[in-house]
Amino acid sequence: MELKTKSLKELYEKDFYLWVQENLKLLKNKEFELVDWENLLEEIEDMAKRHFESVISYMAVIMEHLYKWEKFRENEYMGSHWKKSINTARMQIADLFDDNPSLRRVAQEKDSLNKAWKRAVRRLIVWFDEDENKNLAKKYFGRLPTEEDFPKDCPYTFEQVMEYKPWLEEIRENTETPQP
Amino acid sequence: MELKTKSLKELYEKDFYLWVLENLKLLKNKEYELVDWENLLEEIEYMARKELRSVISLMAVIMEHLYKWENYRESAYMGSGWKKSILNARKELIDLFDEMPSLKRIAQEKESLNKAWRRAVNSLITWFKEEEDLAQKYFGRFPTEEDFPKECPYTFEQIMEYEPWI
Repeated sequence: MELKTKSLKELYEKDFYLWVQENLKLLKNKEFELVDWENLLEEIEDMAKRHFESVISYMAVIMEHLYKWEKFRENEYMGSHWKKSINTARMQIADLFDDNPSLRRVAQEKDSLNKAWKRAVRRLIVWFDEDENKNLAKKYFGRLPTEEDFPKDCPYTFEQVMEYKPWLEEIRENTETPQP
Repeated sequence: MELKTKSLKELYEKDFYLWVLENLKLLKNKEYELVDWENLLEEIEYMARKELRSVISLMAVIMEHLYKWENYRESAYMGSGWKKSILNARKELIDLFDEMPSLKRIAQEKESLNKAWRRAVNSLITWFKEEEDLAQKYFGRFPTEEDFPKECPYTFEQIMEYEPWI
């Protein structure tokens, strides 16, 4: 019996498709002791983790572009793409939360926010490295920025990630300016 | 106990993420009788089916472009994109077969070939909708399923190796 499980474990590396079929057969026959639980539990966990990872990467996209808008928007011609990225990512997250309401709670945890922020920082650094942004890097940092040039902890709350629209503030500011 | 399994089944529709975690917990505790087997077995089966689906759709891409090359290549200027599609799809298939040798056997079954061929025919029909002149020339109208062979005209070996450009 032990031998059989061992060879099933080996199958996981050698032939994933067959490995699934073999485990499936064992589960259907309730031969639980023969199942390759080590790999199967990991695969099942992955089904959930995948969704969590998507949430993190959408949050990272939002943070990256919120931060760009707040700090590095030089003029009104910049940012229409950032706004689109933010809106699209928010829509994707809302869909995920609809299908997996428990993910919303997990996404709000400090760990999740910091994980997403770390990714956002990485993306910001790469962005400054792009040829057309070299001048911006020079202006704001005097060189290519590194992780140290950005806040260590996530500067946004979950509510801001989901709802903050920096482009509205601007409209408000504009309308508040007294007319001559 | 039955109630618990029932509410777990409901969770599958309402909160997939939590459903996975709950089942995972039960499996780790060996509380097998409480697991939502109906949905879990389906999800596990899907892990494998997904891979077979990729194989079928890559084979369909190859068939579509082999068929185009053999039947509708009008000039030496056509087909470089088709060739690229064929070569890329073959490379991906080889990778999949490396990781899952058993898939290679299933891919060769008549059922798999015909399934892929039906997809290829659908893609060809869509393609002709964008190529009105060619559709007019070869069919006098937009082609339908009936205008193509019913059974897959290619063998598995041809799908993997045939190079009409040589």
